[in-house]
Amino acid sequence: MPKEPEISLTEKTFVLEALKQNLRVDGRDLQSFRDIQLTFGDDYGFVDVRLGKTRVLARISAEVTRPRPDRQFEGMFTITTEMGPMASPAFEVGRPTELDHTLSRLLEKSIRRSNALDVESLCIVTAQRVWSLRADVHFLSHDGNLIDVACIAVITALAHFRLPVVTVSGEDITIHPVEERVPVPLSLLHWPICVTFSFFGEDEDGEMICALDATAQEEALRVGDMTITINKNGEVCQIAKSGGVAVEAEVLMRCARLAAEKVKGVDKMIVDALREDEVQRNKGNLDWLKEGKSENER
Amino acid sequence: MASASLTPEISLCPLPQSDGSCQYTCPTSRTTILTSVNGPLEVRAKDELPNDATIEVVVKPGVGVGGVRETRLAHILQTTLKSLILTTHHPRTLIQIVAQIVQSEDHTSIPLLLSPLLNCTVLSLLIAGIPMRTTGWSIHLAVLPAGTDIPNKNRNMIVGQETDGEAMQTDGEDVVVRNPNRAVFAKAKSSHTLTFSKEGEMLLIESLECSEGKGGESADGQGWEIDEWVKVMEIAQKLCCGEGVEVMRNALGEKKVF
Repeated sequence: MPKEPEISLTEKTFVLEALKQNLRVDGRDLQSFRDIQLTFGDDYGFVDVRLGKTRVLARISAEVTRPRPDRQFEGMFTITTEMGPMASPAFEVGRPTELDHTLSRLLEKSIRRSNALDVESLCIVTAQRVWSLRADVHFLSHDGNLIDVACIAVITALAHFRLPVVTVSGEDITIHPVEERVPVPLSLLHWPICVTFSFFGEDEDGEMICALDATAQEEALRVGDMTITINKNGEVCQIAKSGGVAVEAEVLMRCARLAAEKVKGVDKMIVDALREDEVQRNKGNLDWLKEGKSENER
Repeated sequence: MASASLTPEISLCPLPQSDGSCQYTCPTSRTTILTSVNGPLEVRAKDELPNDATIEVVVKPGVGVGGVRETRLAHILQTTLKSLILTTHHPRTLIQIVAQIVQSEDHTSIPLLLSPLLNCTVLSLLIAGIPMRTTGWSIHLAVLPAGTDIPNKNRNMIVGQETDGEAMQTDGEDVVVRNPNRAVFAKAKSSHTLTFSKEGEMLLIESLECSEGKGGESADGQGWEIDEWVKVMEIAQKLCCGEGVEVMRNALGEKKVF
């Protein structure tokens, strides 16, 4: 079974020494993300996120099912993450790695349990019919920071997705195809975004070195990591720090503050990308766009 | 009505981490496939072959988790590629091929996915520098009953009418379309995915009869005559060895392939 190549001692010393001087191999400073690129597909709810060399696809799909008997007013929402050998030959099919588990748990905690998606809005007929939404996350290329990218991908895909209109008369439901009625966006209550910090031990002054958006190389060298999920309003949804080096509360607070600041930028970037896509999609059909808004005069 | 281009969109090496990768978008059905090839790698002991390289193919669906359909697609790919790759050059190793269905009009239809999958895989194998006996090109042809109404914008799919989209409507004779999209494919009476090497030898036949309006789902005795099939085969051979080779050559144009 193939393994990830191990980092040589020279490389390790070089990267760590550089980090102590606030320098990174790719020329960024410690507190900045790589460039995020969002590409949307032909259909709604499909997004391709690139962050440096890391690339993740997310696709939302919906189908009508029966609700769970103990949650009759709620629709269903599942996130599936599966890493295959495409991201790196070290990942085997059908044998999830530790990273796999961490990732799916974190996404679950960040997006599903923070109630980002209002599952009650997915209910069509109580106890009879609900929408079951599924987010498939595909990892195409692994160059570090999969968690943050996957989270951005799922949130963007959810915001981009449109649900077909359903009309209910008594027990019968009609699902209108996209061509017939303009599909509606999902009701997202907030947009949680994950920010992962990597810790590389203490420098000469006893300060913890922490860097944002680590590459695969840096991830292999870090001594601890922490993921903070936060939305643009500064509400912390979850903090995950499983093992690794001990971090003082003060550092943690600083990280949280920095994360809140970064998330605002990411949030704005997603909004801009979505708006641009909307304009592209409705090119030459601006009347249709106006019709959907209530602020226009009629 | 300007007919859209019939050349697939091919981007080579979109994934920097793998040995060879390719993203392929079918010009007419908009099926997009991404494949990556890694190899020769260390092979698991149970899969090791003393005289050959093991070829592993994984097809990952766009929606949901892999099931029977993906296993079937992977199996077809694996057997077809086995005849192309010179496996004896790297005995006791693994050549790992992963195909991701990025976008498709119908994620459940094998015929719509198969030919883009094959073309994309062959291109990424070339990029990865895997030794191959020859290259192959695959095409999906569908036979529509005579007089089927095909929207103008899809006219360029009809074999023989690529240049002049609005020309004649064939009467009395079945219409053969290439790489149909879902709407056109739904009207087909039979579907044939054929693969030829650039020398013209046949590598794969996947023929299906389609009951009308079901788009390749079930078979209820519409079938095809052998003459009809031979005609389809000849068209496919001509397209694969002519156009297919040309497309591949243009795509690889600037790349150095060993």
